[in-house]
Amino acid sequence: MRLRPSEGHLLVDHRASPGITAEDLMRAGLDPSMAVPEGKILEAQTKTCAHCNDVVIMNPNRVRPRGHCRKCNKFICDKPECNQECTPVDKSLDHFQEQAFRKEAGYNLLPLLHSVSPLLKGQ
Amino acid sequence: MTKYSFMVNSFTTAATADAAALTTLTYMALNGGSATQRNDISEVYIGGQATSSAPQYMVLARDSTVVATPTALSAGSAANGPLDPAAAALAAPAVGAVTGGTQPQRSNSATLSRINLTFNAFGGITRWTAMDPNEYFKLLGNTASNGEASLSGFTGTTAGLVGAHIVYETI
Repeated sequence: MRLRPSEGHLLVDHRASPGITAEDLMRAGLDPSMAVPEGKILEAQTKTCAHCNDVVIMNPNRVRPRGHCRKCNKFICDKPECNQECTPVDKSLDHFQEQAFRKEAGYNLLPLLHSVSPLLKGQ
Repeated sequence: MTKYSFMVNSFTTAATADAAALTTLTYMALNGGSATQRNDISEVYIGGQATSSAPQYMVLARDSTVVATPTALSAGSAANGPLDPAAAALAAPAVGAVTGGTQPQRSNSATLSRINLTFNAFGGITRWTAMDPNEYFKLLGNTASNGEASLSGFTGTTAGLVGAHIVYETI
């Protein structure tokens, strides 16, 4: 499977296993479309949302356009909070890390971030 | 930066709901080494070792209660160290734990990211790999809910023997 550098890879190998059936997944309250039954192997591309850090398994049959933030020029997932404004998780992590450094060192704190990644809201 | 691997040879999974305490030796938790440390997870691998069919609904998730006073890993059955033998030792390396004084709890927040690694532990394997730093599963600090991630069995998991590793990079 050829991957672009900006993608992740998920492998579930049941070639020598009874596997997971759709019924197993439904019993556990999970999405039955992710079943990998006996003798099968699943290889899927994954992408990580630049705003909330969610790892999304790409559905190759999807026809709707995928989310893309024109401001940070990165993939974003379908969650409404990720599609409102540009809230890069990396920017928020850098901010909170710097804030923690400043707290430890007794320096003046940074001003509050205008928009925080959904991952770090409430911190 | 050096990549690290936190590995457990064998552990028996257990079905545990979100926001419930995980039980000893049924999970792997990776906790930041300090309040300012960042750890980026780039790979999770789980290999089934069960001797009969055992569906695993394994989840890599952030913890709303982090492990307190983690017990040191037992040599020969688990390890947490750099992949590069020439790596300089960190003053406060990230902590890998399989049990502790207070057991961690997986967050049930709908806004915190997690990775579902469903497979059958009877002969099955699963692996998630991020190819790019933008794709990493990111941790910050050592407190809830972004300072620790755990790999554990979600509700519905059939107890089964697995071995796993988590590859991460301390920034």
